[in-house]
Amino acid sequence: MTMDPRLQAWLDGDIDFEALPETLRGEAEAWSELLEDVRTHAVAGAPLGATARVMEAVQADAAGGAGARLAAWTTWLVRPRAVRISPLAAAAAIALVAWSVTQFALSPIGTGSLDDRVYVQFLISAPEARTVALAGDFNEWDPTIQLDDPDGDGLWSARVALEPGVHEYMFVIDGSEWRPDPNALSYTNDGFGQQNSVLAVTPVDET
Amino acid sequence: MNRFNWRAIILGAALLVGGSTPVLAQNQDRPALDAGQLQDRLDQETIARLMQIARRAQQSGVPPQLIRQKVMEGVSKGVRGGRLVRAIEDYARRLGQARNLLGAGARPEVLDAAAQAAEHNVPSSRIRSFVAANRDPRRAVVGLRTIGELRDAGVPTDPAVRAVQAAIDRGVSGERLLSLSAAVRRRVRQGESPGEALRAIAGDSRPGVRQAPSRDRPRDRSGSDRPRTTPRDRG
Repeated sequence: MTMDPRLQAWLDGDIDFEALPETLRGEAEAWSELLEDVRTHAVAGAPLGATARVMEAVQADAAGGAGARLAAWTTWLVRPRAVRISPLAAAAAIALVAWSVTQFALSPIGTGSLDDRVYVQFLISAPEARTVALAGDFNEWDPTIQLDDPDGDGLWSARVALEPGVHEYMFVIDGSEWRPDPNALSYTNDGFGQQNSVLAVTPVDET
Repeated sequence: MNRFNWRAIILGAALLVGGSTPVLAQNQDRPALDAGQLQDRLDQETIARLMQIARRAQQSGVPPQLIRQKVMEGVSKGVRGGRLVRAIEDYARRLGQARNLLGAGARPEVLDAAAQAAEHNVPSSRIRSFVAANRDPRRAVVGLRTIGELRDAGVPTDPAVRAVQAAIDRGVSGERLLSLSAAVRRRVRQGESPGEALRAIAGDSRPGVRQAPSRDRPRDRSGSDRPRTTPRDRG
């Protein structure tokens, strides 16, 4: 179908309505109403990203096969997009992250992750002992860690996972005698008239 | 910034304050001592006095877990009555002084080490500057303990601080640092002055002075046939 060039010139704004012959004015008015209708009702453009999605679909369809699907996935993964989220949900997400950070930063002594722990071999020679236990700041001084002397040679040992840092400890012989480690690197006054043994545990990646 | 973003920020801030306040308060508001835990091991009067000391310490900003730890240590070791109360009172007082010296941001283990260093007559100004220079709490703790032990062995403050800081800067391990005071004491027993002993072991750490070799310089303890407590490997 072809349009009369004079009607086309009027639609393009090159000539006035009065310049149209009477025979074309009815058709011109119909065009005018149609355009007004479009202007009034077509308030929104195409959805955001519609052009890109249409083009991706067309390209993927044209390429076909697994490669096309991979390309479509890759494009989907890397393409920036507008995410709609309610202010309440955004604020809750921010608060959750901040709460996690404060939890981590304020964790008290003795709550490091298990991955940081270092196994320490505690050894003491106590041939006269029937039982030997270990107590320290790592177990609230509760002598529940038992040392073993499997071959009965008087050399007691236990392997304990400790967090890196400085620890104070003592051995408890036969449930009642608190004894410092005779081979400790250092000792400190415990405030109760005895000496605690002191041990420094260095993280494995710093040794 | 539009109204939408401002609203989100205000809401986020409100939730953050609301959510983190209980966490922040967790350490301060939790009772320092659990009376029930002590009930069958101590008499009521001792418990009441310990609770009072712990509460007062907590109000002055001392981390409650330090007091709890020391009380549990004393109880486990069979210390009772007035002797236990006096020891805890003294410990809480020293922790309070360390807290005042280092401020609210100091970690519990650093406060404990600072209190110990002060007990060994390390001046407050040196404790504060040492902690300020060693932001890694592990280094601060092992450093303060070593300085305290060196002071206890008779080494003057300045050389002790200088030697420890130099060792930390060289990356010397905590184990080796802790063994420094024992090595000094050994040489002192052989007739050297504490200052000479430290110089011989750690070297002179003044700028421009080369470190002297020494057979007593803290080193790994391999080669000893005595049973020793030793860090082994990762857990």
